[in-house]
Amino acid sequence: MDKETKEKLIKRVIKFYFVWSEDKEAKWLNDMSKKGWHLKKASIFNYTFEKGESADYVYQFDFRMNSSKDEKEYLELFKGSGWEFINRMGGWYYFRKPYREGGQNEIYSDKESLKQKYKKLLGFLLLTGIPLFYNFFTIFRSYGRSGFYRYFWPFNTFILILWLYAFIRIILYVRKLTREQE
Amino acid sequence: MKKKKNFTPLTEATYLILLSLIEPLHGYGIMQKIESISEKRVKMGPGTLYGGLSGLLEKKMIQKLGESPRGEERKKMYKITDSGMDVLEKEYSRLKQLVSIGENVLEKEKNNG
Repeated sequence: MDKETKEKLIKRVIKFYFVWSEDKEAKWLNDMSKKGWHLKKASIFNYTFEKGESADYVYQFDFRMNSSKDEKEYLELFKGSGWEFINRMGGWYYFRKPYREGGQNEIYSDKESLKQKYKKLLGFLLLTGIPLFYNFFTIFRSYGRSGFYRYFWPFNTFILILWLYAFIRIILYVRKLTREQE
Repeated sequence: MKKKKNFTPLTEATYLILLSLIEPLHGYGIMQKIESISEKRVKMGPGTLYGGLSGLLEKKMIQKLGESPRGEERKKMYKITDSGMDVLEKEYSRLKQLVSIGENVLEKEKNNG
């Protein structure tokens, strides 16, 4: 899936990571950095890397509902504690930091605040879920009436299944964090 | 989950943020102060700190003081409010009480054994 573009030192890779595979995504980015490919920009399923020296970077992702709110202050906190901001993709913020044994290698240092991150994500999913379900049921009723619905229906159903899967995975993760807290 | 009107007990992170904001500090200053008052035991992540600050601002336990007076950098400062101080003191006595209960029981155990 690797595709080298015009410039030698830039590489674009298409990879499918979803909200429930954050750890795998972080591990992959860490492996890439060790090979000297450092993330330059993350877009949806599309990663741009820049060639440099091999480095051991920890990658972490944060989620914010309202990105315009206090963004400067928010980013300053990360910068101040040694986290490099790479880019924002929707509500997701990509950060990295050179790995240090015994150092602070996580942007959330306790389970309670990590849980808050995923609760925000659940809130966001609920909001986006309303039109999905609305579409599903209205389209379901009008299925077969016109060509548009005929093609749109499988697409909407596919997204809805992904949505449900993401929702369940995150709920299970929040429950796991709660259990570990006790 | 029950929601109580007074905010105790606090999470460890919230407790430490409130303690550090007895004097006005900007975001990164809070992190450094938490590290120093906890004798390097707690290294708070920026995500945890940001979440903690937003929560405390919402509950009016801390306030923003506007820009830092120290020159060009212009960072927002935070400080504990009176109601935040109230909660912090309540939490402190609650924790002290818990420790003293623990001491009573555990010391007795040691003396008997």
